[in-house]
Amino acid sequence: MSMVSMAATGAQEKTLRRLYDHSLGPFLDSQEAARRATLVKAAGLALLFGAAAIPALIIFGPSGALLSAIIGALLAHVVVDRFKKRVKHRVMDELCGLFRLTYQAGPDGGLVDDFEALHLVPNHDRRETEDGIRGCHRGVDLDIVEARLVRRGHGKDDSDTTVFKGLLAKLSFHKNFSGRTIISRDAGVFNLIKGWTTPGERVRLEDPLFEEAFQVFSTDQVEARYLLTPGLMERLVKLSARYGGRVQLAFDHDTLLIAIDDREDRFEIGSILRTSLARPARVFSMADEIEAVLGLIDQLGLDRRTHA
Amino acid sequence: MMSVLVGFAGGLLLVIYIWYVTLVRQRNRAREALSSIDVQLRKRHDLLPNVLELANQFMSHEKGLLEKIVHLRISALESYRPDQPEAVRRHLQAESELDRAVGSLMVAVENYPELRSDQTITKAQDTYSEVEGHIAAARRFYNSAVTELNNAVEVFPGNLLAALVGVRAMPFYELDDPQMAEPVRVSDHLSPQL
Repeated sequence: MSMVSMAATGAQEKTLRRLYDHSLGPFLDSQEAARRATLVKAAGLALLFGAAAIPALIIFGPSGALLSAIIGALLAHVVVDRFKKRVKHRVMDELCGLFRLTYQAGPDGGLVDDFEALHLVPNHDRRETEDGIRGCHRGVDLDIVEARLVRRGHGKDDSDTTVFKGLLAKLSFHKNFSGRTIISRDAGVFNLIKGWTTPGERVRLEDPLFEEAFQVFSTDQVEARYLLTPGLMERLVKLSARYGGRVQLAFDHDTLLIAIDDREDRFEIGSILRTSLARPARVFSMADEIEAVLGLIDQLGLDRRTHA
Repeated sequence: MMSVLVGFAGGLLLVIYIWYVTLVRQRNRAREALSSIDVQLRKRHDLLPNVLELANQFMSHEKGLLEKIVHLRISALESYRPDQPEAVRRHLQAESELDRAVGSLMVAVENYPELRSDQTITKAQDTYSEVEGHIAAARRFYNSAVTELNNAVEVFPGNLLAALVGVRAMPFYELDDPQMAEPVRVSDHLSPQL
């Protein structure tokens, strides 16, 4: 069953439909005039700077014309982006409220530090975080952000490289533990190097599929096995397969940290260029994306107080 | 010619030394894992007196089981030499039997509503369940360490060096519940009305 259909089932579908009909739909309708105005403003800016490119070409040469065109395009983009963010903020705020969660459009990047300290995300020079979701789902406290981490180029190749783009989730865990266990994805021929750089001792587990997908390092061999039960290992293998093996996790300070580098851009309202904002399918799809993220808790069985 | 022979002998000695170090490391690893099992088992032993005292007040029909647990606990607590595989096997066997008996007690508790509603026993059941999770984890660590040790000790030519330096294979910690080997009769678990 797809996440879309999962969200759109039974009572949840009714609640979502009611939210759309009574709040989000009227709000999006009311933004229609603002959408057109934003597009006109953006087009006006692009045209203005496009026209300014001609005298710039005469006065400053081709570089002046190019600069003028770039400024025009950038300003148009900023205007559209600001409008989209405003609309998205309201939509996400209400959708998260539906799941009894709180939304923050521009969360601080503090969460990234926790992931970096545990080697779950690569070293980077610049970070962008957005779409922070916080709250409690099925008894599990969660703190989730979307992050993009960039490494600056050095030497001849000075272009920026995105080294991580995806979800960072910090979830409370139902078992008490004191050590640190890092579950990093299998690095193939670089496993040996990873062993030197990752803190803790290598833990070899019985599940061959799990060992194929991950490498585990822990400060406590017994505790690592207490946390990574055969049932959880099986669920982690499925989770890893679902995201193309781009999942890394860690147990630290009674929390489970999950980094999913799936290069997805979630929770977006989409293009405002041709179509109206009032599209129920788009809003429902955003709700599905929230549900898919919360689905991590169900998939990993984090709400169950079991040892399976 | 002489230098080649000396070089060969030196190389051989180095290989044997590395082999020896690996064997000793694996043996120590298995002993470390065994001691981590004992740490976890100790928690279970510490939990039992309170549970048994409470159960004794309510579970008059389970006197036999309670006495069996007391005896098994005493035998599981007997000291043993971790460097003697047979002593380790007996120790782990005693713990397995105690584990089965305590498991039966926890199931039997369900038949005594007044005991089940007692907060002390509820808390003890929760703690027991958590301790069992730790014991299972320690058992997995131990069995993994023993697998590595036994492979090194039993496969030729490692067995020759192991015999020479006195490193021996160690027993696995297995939960050999005879009831689990028998096929399940569905009719035993269905009520007559069904």
